[in-house]
Amino acid sequence: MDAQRVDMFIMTKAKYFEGHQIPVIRDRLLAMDDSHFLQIQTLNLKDPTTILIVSLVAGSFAVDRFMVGDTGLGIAKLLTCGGLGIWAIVDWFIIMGRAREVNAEQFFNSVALRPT
Amino acid sequence: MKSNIRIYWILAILSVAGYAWIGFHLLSNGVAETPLTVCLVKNATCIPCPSCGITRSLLLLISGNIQGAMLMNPLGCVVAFAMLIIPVWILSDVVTRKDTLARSFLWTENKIKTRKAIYIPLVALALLNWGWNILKEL
Repeated sequence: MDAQRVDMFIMTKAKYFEGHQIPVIRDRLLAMDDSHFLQIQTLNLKDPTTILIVSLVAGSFAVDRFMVGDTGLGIAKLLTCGGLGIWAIVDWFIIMGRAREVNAEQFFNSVALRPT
Repeated sequence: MKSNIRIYWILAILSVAGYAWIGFHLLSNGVAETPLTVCLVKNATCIPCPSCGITRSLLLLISGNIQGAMLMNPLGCVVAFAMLIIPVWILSDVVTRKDTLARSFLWTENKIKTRKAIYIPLVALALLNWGWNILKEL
């Protein structure tokens, strides 16, 4: 893929991924065919800031965990009143990282399905 | 593999914390004037959360009052079932060096996430139960 396009993607989507994943993502995109750019561009990535706000407001109801796709842990968190309130507070600090991790998983799964 | 180990650790910690919490309540029974509430929602808004009453439901179950436990919060029976099954399942997986619990966990998670016929009734039940909790003023 065209380097300029890839850099534009990286600039606009950098906040959705961990910093250390960016070089790998860039390499993958560079090796990819141009025709898949639209599919990658329209991936349903979770905004870590939105998830953090949800976690702050409705963390005890585990809405943040359900949003990032951790349904099993979400049910556990919901049944334990947000892990007796402790898990809810811990999640304020780790949920953004988890959202970025889930985004990266989604990106790499989507890339793996396409021939380069 | 890494995420599988994570699932085991989280479930083990939750089970231990659950037993410790119930043990604490059994030991301190009658000592405290008012029961200890750590629920953020209830403390902040005075409205019970969907899982308020589970501790009381479990304590009723332990004392043999199944009907009282169901009336307090039906989710208590679900939690009791999970607390009985999960530690045994973790131990059997560790001993036999298999990952049946993690695979079942991920399979169930995937079914709940992707099947509308499963997650819509579950959400509806959880909301109904929450409404009942608020009406009961737990």
